[in-house]
Amino acid sequence: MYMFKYVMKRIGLMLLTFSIIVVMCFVLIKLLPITVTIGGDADPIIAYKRLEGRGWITNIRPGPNGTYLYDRVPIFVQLWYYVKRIFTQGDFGMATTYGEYLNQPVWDVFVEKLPPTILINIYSTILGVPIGLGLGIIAALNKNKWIDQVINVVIILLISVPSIVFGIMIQYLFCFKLGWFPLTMRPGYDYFTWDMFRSMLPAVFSLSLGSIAGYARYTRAELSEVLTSEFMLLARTKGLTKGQATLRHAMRNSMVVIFPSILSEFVSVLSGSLIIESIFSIPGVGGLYLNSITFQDYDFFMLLSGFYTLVGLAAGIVIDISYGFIDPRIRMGAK
Amino acid sequence: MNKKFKSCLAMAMGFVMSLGFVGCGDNKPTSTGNDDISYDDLTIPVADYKKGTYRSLTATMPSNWNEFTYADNNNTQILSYISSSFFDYDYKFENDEKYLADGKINADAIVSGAYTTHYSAATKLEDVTSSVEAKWGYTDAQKKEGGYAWKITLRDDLKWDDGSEIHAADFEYSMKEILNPDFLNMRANTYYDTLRIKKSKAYFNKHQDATYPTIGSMGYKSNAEAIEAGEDIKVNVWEFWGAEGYVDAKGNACPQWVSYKDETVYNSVAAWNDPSNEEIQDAFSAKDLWNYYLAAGAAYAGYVEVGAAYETWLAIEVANTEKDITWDEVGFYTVDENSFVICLDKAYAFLTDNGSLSYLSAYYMSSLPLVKEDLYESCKQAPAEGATLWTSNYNSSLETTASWGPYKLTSFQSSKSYKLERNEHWYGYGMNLYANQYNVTAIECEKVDEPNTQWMKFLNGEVDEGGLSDLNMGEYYHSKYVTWVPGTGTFGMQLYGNLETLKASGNNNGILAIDEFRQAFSLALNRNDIVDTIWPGSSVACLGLMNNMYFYDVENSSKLETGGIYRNTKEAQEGLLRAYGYIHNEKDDTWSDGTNSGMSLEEAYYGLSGYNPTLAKETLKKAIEILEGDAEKYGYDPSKNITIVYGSSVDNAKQRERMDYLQKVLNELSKGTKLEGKITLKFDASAGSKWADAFRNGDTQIGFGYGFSGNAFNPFDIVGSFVDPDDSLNYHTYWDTTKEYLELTMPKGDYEGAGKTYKMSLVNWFDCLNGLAAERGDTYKFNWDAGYAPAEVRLKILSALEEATLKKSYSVMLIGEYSGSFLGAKFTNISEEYNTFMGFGGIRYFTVNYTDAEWTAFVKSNNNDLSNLYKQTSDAE
Repeated sequence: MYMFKYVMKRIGLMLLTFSIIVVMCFVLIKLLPITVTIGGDADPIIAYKRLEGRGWITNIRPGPNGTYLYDRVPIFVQLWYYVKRIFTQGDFGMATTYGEYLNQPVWDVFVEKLPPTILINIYSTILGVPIGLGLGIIAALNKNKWIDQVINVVIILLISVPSIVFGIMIQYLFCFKLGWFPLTMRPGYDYFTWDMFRSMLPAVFSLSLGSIAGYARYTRAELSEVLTSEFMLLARTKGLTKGQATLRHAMRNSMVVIFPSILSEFVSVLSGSLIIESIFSIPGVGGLYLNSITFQDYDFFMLLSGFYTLVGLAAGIVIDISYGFIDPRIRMGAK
Repeated sequence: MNKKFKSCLAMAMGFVMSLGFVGCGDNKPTSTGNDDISYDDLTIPVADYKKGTYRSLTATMPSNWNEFTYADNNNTQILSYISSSFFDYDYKFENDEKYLADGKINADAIVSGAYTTHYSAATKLEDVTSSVEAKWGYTDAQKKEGGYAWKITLRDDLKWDDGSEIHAADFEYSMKEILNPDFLNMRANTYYDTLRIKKSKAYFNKHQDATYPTIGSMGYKSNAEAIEAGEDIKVNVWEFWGAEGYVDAKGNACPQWVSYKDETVYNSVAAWNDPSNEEIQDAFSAKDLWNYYLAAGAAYAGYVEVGAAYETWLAIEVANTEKDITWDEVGFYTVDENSFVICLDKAYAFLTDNGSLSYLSAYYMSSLPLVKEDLYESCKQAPAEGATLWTSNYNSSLETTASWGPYKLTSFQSSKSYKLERNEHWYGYGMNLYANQYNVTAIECEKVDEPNTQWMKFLNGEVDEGGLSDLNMGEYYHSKYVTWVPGTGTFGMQLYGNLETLKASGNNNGILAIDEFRQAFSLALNRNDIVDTIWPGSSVACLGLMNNMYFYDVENSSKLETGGIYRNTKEAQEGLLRAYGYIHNEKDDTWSDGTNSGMSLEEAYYGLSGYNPTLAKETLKKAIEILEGDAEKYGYDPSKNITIVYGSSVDNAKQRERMDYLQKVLNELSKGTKLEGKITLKFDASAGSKWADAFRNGDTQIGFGYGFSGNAFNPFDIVGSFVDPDDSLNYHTYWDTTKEYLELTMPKGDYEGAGKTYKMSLVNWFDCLNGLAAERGDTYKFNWDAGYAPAEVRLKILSALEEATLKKSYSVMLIGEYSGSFLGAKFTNISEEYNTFMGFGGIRYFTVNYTDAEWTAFVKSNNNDLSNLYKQTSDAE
């Protein structure tokens, strides 16, 4: 019951926070001056008309020197239009200034681009977590021995070098020189075929190296500390082997810190890596958010802001709740 | 002038060129508009050509290849393959022997630089100006002149890629939809502004209440003339007085446009609320503004006069009286199943005197928009609540795409890739025109952002095209697989020379107003080094205002020794030599550059580099003498350094390097003179995207890389960007060319003013050259526009204007557009020589050297790395 109340309270707070953030995002993006960019010799009034069509501006008229003037609809009226459209028509809007998706429903574009991003991040997490944990455990169990030193050097190397460098190196070496993988991700929607999986691997490797280093570092630090705790000595004196004590007591205790970071990694799979997606030509969501701001495409920006805010807030709740499962001493909502 | 016209032409050219890949050509006599045309059914034997897939890359995926709304050339990469042309260009083949006996294309017979125009989707073009109904309102003179109304007859086998038929009614439906006032389609202006279909603009704007065109655009030469004619001039008080948000005494909002006779007083809300506060009072009436500031003789009258910088602040309200216009009034109607008539407000010479197609037919009427009716209707999207604009997602995905071109879209993945395959329903595959062409069976394109990745994909044979850039320039510049493409872009260094502004700048740089200084600067620039250092792989040295992509007579280019190219003419070459200090010896018709003499025109012209450091230094010394001789006039203080502001739109390493390059040139130029070490360049990118305005205002004094492109067939017009102060593109509007005189003796002949000597202002010469002199009230009102004076007369004036401009050295020309790209070994262009209309032949004429399977094996045999192959510089290697 405590837990239920706690969860409901957190969800309520989450929705409140979400609303505040969404309103802030809406107001802030609307406060920027409107820049309308159009191609070729096209008539700019049409670009403005698109903005009018979404209820952002009205009364467009020619200004001096080929410019156009317009009246801005009050921001909170625009917000009302926006929210009303979503709840009454399920319409998250259409791209009005983001040239590559002009007139396309932003939700459809976003949903089409999510799978490659999610898959690549999941594969990299699946690869990164066991290797990272394994290296961390080995390092912790062999603390200050040569094997620990080697792992530490590797960790520092992987943490210091940005994934873009690994991306370029992997692409050059494994894709171009050795020809083990294609240079870019394969076109198409057949995400679960071997050819598609193979074409994703260079990006997966590039992304996972950083994760491996992160997990290894966390695990080594936490496990090293737990291994020197008094309860570990007690466990050994009770007759447990080193392996049993490590697995049953040390690992579980160190997971209190490590597990939430794994969960948050899964949350981040929804947001693509701009650079890696660009290098390996992955049709993911990596560049969407940045470009939606660059082009001041309101509907795109609001959808992405709302989505990631919601995911981030929900993940916070899930992570908090997960503490209770990992460590029975932690009871959510109990007084 | 005619900025829109130039850009339209540039756009049209780009589109035509892209459509050029879907071109035409046969070995039959060119069809004419006066005879019935028989179908050009396929009789050429099938040649033994290899077939293969062409794989390309793009950094930006096309998203909207709807002819009505496509945003830029990026979108035409699909559009150009899925649409067709009524009339098309083709190579000219010697003796019309396009095909060999085995059906192969006779590439050796291609006539250099020449082209032909052919019927493609249309079978007949008729000038019906004299026979159309009276309701179209053509006068007797227009009927006699012809060229206004055209009947186009289509082939009867036009089909969509799903096999459904295309008829004249489909073109009428499509024209009606592109002009649909509910949609305000972006590309409709091609038909109401460029082609000028009768009443199309009124139909497009039928929902608008009023427009506010400038007084000049309403045909008045001055504001006073408009008032005299009884016009009610409206003042844009928001712009002129900053009155947006102001109200009258009753609280009514101040409109943007107020009549110059209106006595209503407006003021800010705060001022009305606190009348005792003198500081915030800003009351005005439009009548007062007019009387005190804008009327003839008032302080700002000159700024808002017709043609002046702020003429848009005054306007004439034109109420829309054609809100009830119907489609029947628009100049487009179907005659029968396969023919329609298009009535224009402007005459076009789509047919030559002998009835064959002129180049203009494929230039302006390559095609008209065509959408598949049922699909288009299903793609219409109603406006959102409270809005009025309809939109459409036609041709934006696989499902919403229909093709009537040589290829059809078979897959499309947003942000990733698309694939086009041969459209077997295309009429062209059954024609001699296209026999044994289009050996590319499919076109695959993938979006790849990173230049590194793109290059590696090219090197390992995954794609068939690559870019020449800083990334590979060093090793691959001379590769035989590089194709060099020239363009009309001609760019240079603009030097600001308005003395009053320079003096007021406080930079001690009045020397820029001395012609000799700018000339010295020009002579000190080594164009070839600039090409190698600053724009490698994308330019060639160029000394004229227009590079060698400009035609003075494109219609007759194949018959002329010059190829119709302006730069190849004697007049243009002689003018250029004189502009760069060469002296002509009349006695033996030789040229001298001061060091070498006795050179023929050809020797002198092809030896001209524009770089003469010795002469540059001498000229600089003269400039210094002038500067010191009248220091007060030039605001020169010898104790201070001379600072010249280098303008840029962005602050980055590349721009800084360019400025440093110029600084070195100036240091070398001034070495050993009194200005040694005293001329400093200062970087300024504060204007950002307003870089051109910053230069025109004199805030920056060096504009590096500024120039023009487009309008390849009318150099006579583009020279106005340099000599016409009213030209919106002119960087040097302060240069009063009404006071710069030029004396020329006109060649003898049958035209007005022939054989006489005239001394007139540069702008007057320009106006005469373009038939504008009478309209603009010039001293001399000759009309020497195309068709009114022989070509050599027009060439003489053009080259004289160019020479005068170059000598003035406000515009120091440096480079011409010339970019390199790779075509992989899987394919070969049919011609190594660039043709303005045909390019290198494109996909239509590609020779496939390896089938897909052969290519895979070939790449594998090279260990998936074709670096060494692509480094080869000649076939001998």
